[in-house]
Amino acid sequence: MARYDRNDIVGGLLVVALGLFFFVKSIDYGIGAANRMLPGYFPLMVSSIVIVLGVAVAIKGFLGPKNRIEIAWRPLIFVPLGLVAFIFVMRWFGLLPAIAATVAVSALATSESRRLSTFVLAIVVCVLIWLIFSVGLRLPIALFKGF
Amino acid sequence: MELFTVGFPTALSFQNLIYCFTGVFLGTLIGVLPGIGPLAAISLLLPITMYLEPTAALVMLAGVYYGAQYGGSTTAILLNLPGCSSSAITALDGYAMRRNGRAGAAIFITTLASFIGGSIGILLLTTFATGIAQAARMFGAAEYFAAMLLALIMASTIAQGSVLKGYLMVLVGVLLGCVGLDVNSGVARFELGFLQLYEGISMIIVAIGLFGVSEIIISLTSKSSAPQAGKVPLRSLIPTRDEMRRMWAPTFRGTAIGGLFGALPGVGANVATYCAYAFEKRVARDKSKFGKGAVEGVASPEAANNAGVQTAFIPTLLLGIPGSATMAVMLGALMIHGIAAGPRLMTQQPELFWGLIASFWIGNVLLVILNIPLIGIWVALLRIPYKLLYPAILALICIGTYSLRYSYFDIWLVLIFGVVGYILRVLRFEPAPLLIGFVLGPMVEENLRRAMILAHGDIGNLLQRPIAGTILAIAAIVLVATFISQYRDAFGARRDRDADGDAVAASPAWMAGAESRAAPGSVSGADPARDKERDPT
Repeated sequence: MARYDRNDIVGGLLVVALGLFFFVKSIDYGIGAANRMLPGYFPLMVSSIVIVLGVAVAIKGFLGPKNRIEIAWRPLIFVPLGLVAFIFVMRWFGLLPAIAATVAVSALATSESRRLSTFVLAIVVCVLIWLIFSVGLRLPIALFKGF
Repeated sequence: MELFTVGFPTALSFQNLIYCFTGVFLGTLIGVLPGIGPLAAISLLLPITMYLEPTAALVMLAGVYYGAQYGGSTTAILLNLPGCSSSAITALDGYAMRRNGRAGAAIFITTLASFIGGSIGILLLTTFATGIAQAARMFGAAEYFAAMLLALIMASTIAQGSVLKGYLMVLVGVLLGCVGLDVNSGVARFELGFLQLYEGISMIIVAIGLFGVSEIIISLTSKSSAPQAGKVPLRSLIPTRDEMRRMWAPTFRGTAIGGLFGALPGVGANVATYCAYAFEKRVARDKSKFGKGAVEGVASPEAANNAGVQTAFIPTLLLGIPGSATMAVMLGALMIHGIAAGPRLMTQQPELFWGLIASFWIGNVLLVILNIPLIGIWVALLRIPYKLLYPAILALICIGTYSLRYSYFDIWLVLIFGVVGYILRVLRFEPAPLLIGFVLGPMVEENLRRAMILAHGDIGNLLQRPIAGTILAIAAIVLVATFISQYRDAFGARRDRDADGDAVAASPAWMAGAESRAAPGSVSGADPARDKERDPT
């Protein structure tokens, strides 16, 4: 695999997979004809082009030039986890704990975060969010619940 | 002249003025923060504007847009970190000016050139808006379909990297736009059993995920050895007499180019900035100074950008066809407030239409008065380490998304689009065209369907209509041209890609997308810095 452009191969194939999903589903919805399009007509048309172009990109990837895929796992894991933390803490404990949880979890995405600064940051962000959304915009969201 | 009878009174109402000011302030604040471009800034602040009435909301967003753009130029000049692709051009000579100790002057010239470009752009818009709206009223489904197709094709060429990938991203956007209830049959499509997807995916969700969340992940990827912005004392803002003399002509040339390109559907201001820079380099007597701190290289693209932003409202508001991803977000904001863009917008909602345009100008004025004195604060903001910023931004994303519909499902969607956006960028796919495709997709389908019913299913009937036929022909030419240039690139020398800005000026065929591909930087602010680190040449 040394001289292939893996970005293009993986990207092309991912897009082809997506195209195939839409293609197959479109057939279920009914195609119809050009003057009487059923729900599947347009997505079928578009997904066909997507599949063809996706294959083209993947083939281009096989022709090189060499390119590796570089994924930064740490931020890729902890930034979305911050969102997940918000969802669950919000559901059971209310807005401010959720904000603090988001800050705390997402801070793990970089090795530069320190516990104390994250703690202070969480408080500052909570105050700001409270000021903007509760005091300013009067959003009807429970700040705390379940206590 | 409704701009003056309706527009300015609306925009100058105390309430709207406050919102415009707030928008400009927040926009600059967020735009200056490294790693957040105008697109992310608008997406982040979009949920907040949901609580305002439509005019106020748009006025505020206009302010955010201007502020963020300005903030992007500032970081481009001071740190060589362009917040968006248009300020990537500014970074070429702006950062060079900073190295020459002329950072203040560069910022001043940027502001002034933007202001002039924006003002003239508004005049152009006012002059032609009524006529174009009348012409647009003759548009039938076939013409709309043709114009949107052209916009989609143009949008693909904006992408950096391969044009093929640009087309792919636009089409994937169109596919995602199909999710939800089909308006004609009431059939739920691609909803995967989720009731929440019956209404389709919200454009804000896509924008926040693709540009907000994924930009955070990208920015964390690069080493955060934040370059020092240094101090910019007020006195250094004043350009020398020579610098002032050299900025006028480029400013007006840039304005002309920007005004022209901005008005084309699907082109937007970004392409205009590349062209303006390339053109300036061509007409300059001393080409060698470009990239080394040429005033012309800062003034012209900035003027082009702002003039283009103004005239980009012509296709966005009068046809409902956004010229850029940012305009797509603005259009989405309109839709969320229940306002349909189109030729009738001007007559049905004159306050909104002219008020918005006037407030763009006022936003520009506010920027001049607000930012020149406040430059010290913005520079200070640049010193905030990113590790303290991004958790706060993420928290803002959470609460912003949640407040849209009080739905946890929306946050899950933001998460998915954030991860998808990151993977796309890692794989060198540009997410901006995806958003344009996403916004235009449902409209394209609807108009195609109607046009084909009227044409009895014969595409030939579509081509015979004079306006639709012409636009489709242009679309076909652009399509072929982009692929030819791609082919030529693949086999020709890779001269286009080597050094910084030289590539921008090298090829005249802007339509072929060669410039946008070769242009440094990208929509995400962090990319160029990252690339530089990896490859020190």
